[in-house]
Amino acid sequence: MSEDIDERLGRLLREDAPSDRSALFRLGVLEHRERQRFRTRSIALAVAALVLAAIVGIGFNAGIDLFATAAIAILCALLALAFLVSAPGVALLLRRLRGAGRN
Amino acid sequence: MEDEDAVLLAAVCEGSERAFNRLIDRNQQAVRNFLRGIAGPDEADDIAQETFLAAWTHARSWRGGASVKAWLFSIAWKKAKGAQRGWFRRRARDTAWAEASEEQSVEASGETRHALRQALAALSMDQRAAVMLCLAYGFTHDEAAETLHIPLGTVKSHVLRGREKLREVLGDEA
Repeated sequence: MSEDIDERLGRLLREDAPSDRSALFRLGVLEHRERQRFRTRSIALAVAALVLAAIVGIGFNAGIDLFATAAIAILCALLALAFLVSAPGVALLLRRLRGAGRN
Repeated sequence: MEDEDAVLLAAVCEGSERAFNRLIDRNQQAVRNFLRGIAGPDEADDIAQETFLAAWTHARSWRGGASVKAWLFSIAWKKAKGAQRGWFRRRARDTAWAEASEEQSVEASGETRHALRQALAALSMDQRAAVMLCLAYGFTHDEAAETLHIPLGTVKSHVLRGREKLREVLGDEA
């Protein structure tokens, strides 16, 4: 008897569950994720712009000529871009190597 | 079935969108229902979305000890607790949820389910979580304690008290 009531409670608590398949909910999750990615990318771009502006400003104040300052800023930007592009691949490679090492 | 979730999660760790979609499809009903039980219908879907988003971002944090479902419930629980922290939000939410439970009295759902929802809403959040995990989803007390990060004795006490309150509802209907 006690078990029947618990089973019934469990069934009633699950009865109000949303539908088994919900493409709408899944789309909501993906949309949420894209918004988060957009925010992250925007912040990264804003930070990168500030850093480049700081490099140019410091270079200018230090008396380095504009061409050299711009070259340094572009080089930093390219290095940062190369790091961002390659980092996920490098991380994946390291994980696989660690996994292979453990085996 | 649980192995499929583990395989899907491993694929999500490698960045598989398809596996992520499948993982959502397989678990969204349970996660959303759990959150409806503890956080109310208005907040449940928002928190559920954040839960799956966290699962995507932190897929590698699943160690394989607990089931994937338990891991998802654990994330959902943390998100729900986080959402609850603002005092004013908490007051507004609890009041709104209790009022909404009363207003829904003559909807398509039966009186028993309505009474059960009211009884569930009257429990504390921790009690609701313990009751949902153990009674609705068949978690053992140990599994529930691990998922909710609360002591085993507390879980047992919550389930006992929650079960008594909910049984009163069924007792009246019997």
